[in-house]
Amino acid sequence: MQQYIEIFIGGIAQSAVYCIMAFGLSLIYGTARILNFAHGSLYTTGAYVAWVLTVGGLGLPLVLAVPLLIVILFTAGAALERVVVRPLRSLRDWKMSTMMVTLGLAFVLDNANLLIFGPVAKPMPAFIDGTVTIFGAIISSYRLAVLGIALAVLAALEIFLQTTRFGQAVRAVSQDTQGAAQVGIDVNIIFGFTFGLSVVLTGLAGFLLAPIYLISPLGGWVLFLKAFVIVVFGGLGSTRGAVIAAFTLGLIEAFVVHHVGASWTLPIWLVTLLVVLMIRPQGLMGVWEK
Amino acid sequence: MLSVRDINVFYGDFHVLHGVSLEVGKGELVAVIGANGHGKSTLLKAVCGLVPAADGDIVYAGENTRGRNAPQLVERGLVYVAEDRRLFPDMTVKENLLLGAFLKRGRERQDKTLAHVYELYPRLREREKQLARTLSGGESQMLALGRGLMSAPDLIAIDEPSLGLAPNLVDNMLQTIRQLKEDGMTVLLVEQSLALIEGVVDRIYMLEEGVISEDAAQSAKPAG
Repeated sequence: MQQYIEIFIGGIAQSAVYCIMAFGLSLIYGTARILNFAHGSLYTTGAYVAWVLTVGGLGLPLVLAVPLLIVILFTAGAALERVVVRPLRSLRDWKMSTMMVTLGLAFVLDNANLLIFGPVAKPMPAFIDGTVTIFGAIISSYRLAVLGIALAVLAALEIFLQTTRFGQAVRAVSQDTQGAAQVGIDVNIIFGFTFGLSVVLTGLAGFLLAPIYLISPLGGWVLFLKAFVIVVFGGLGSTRGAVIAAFTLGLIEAFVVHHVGASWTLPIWLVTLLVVLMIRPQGLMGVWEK
Repeated sequence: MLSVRDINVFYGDFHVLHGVSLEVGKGELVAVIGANGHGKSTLLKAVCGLVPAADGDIVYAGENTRGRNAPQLVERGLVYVAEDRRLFPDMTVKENLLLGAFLKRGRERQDKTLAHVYELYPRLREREKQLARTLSGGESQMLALGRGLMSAPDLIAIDEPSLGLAPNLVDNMLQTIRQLKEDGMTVLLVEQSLALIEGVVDRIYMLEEGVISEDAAQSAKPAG
């Protein structure tokens, strides 16, 4: 029993971080209709930036490092949209073009990280030590903190999207871009903002998982693949679907890792995805692209 | 109020509008008619900043607005209502309406306009908590026009409001548009069929294969 509590809590902590990352991927697809292949590399880059800000270089305390990290990631994301993506949007085949460009960007980032930080994985100390005992099960405090932070981030995102005027504008753009322009929403600002937010989310996930997985130049690809499976499982463009999918798959992963072995995680995820797509081709909550 | 002079619009290599000009006076109800695919929607979208005009002038309220984007024009009171409705399907009727008042211009008069729209279309009030995707064709058209009105337009450009509506609903729709004119709004309307709008509008332009001409005979008729 205690063992299962451990697996369960470990699983939902992991799921919550996947969820943040998948949310970012889904947000960009939902608004700008772009599948961002650099999402995993941005996850890694976010972790490296966090490492430089804290233990790896500047040694800033977390109260300074985290806001600074968020500002850097947001600026990078918004700049990415403005400089790389927006000029492509006027092309006829812009969807394919932007997808290819984000793939290229992923390789540039990966190799830049490799050159700058070297091939050896960087350890990142957990910012909270120790363990907590829940119903006799021993849980690492760090995992609990990660769970708390990730859930808080998700709640903040949901409140932002549902209740604020700007959040409404983001939803409007994702539901009908031309309709949004008609009511006077500046679609380019929303695209820039969602790219910024998306990079913040994936970079933050990289930072949160760094003490668990270490930071290595190609470490983001597995996470990207997982985020992609989550987004397709949940339904392309549906952030709520992504949340449900992340928790379902995260818990499946926790049990698979414990009972079968970590290398079985992705095969079992993909089989689950296949089954879901056979029953619901549009994913759990997806709507078909019109 | 609106003066379009010699605009050309391209979609890639495809030349859609050829030196199109038209005039809409303040308080007028002007229609552009023409068959599908001859550029009527493109004309309205170019006027409203949703597609770029390659050259020519679009003068709205004394200002050359060619090159301005839709949000800038909405803030100046020039609003487009799309033929394909362009609603936000996963938001409620009320959320859709309130998004119409997204900019300062609409927001300042939000409560008053909302009351007016509900008065115009009591059906929308009944359904205000329903998702837009669950509305019927007629209700969707009401919501599309209602959302446009929420932006507090001086000039409203309405693209084929009759599309997909049953004949009795078309009559209601035209009466509503006529009412908007009576209330002092300037209306630029696009339709396919002359028979539908004959006698309802002040003046008519014909658009054929991207070339416009004023239909003098129709224009001479008094508006009904």
